Amino acid sequence: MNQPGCEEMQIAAMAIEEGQVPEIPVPLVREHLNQCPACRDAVTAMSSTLAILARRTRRRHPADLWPAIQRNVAPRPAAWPYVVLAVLLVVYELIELVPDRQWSIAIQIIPVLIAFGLFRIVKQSPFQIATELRLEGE
Amino acid sequence: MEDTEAIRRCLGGEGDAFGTLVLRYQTEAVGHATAILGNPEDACDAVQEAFLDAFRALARFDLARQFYPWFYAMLRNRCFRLMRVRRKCPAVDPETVVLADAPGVPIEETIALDLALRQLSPEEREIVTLRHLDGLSYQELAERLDIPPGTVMSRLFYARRRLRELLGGPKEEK
Repeated sequence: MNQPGCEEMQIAAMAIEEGQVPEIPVPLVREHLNQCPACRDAVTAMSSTLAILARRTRRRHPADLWPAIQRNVAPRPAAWPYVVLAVLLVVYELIELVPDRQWSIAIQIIPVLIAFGLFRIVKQSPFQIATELRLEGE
Repeated sequence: MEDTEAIRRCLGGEGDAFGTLVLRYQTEAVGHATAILGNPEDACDAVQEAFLDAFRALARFDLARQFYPWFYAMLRNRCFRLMRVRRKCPAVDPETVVLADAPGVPIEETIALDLALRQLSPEEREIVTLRHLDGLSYQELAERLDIPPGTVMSRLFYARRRLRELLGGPKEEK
């Protein structure tokens, strides 16, 4: 292993100062600092920088991100009921194109079933009257 | 609600349980993202995207681990990605962005230190603030940043040396 240079010694010295075990043996670092005034001065200066940072805290930036996130994590309604209703509607329209048709009542109630199905999916009742409607700006 | 309980509920289909995690960590996350990005507005965007990343990746979360360090990896990815896209230098704000006011310390001193921090590179600012403002140990830094402890020592050293230069100390030969 090559002899560590001054910079490696300073890195190790700072780590020791913060209670860490550096990769270079501690006695070697201490010996170097005793013999090298430049490194000693650098470590002293660096320690004073650490003192400036001591007892500092982060500035808090209050944020309310949940409403925006919630919109994206909410489970999306399944698409298949709409697909089924769309297919039913198309089938019904095609049936209507057949000339001289005499279909049973079962076919004729398809539009009613579609409307009923839609109300079920969107969880609304066509017979319920909203009594708490408010005008804009009220 | 504990983090693990919230995560279990999310995995069980209760998306709203994720709100517990967002409300618990959003301020801390915005602080960390601000330290990387240099401004709180971009930080909020990055944090929001990171939470969505975390939500989508929850199935891969190891419940034996802590949530925030796991989330932090996504947050810093989002921050560095956002920085690449926007290529924006941190704004030189007359107010402090990273540091809170410290009692008994003149505000000018805090502003000077905050400005010096903002002139560091994002990686330097990140490691210095995690070490000195959050008090993370070298081991925690190594885990959080996914680098070996030896790299933590050298990165911290160079970041602090640059900070000292920015604060008016003598420029070191490199």
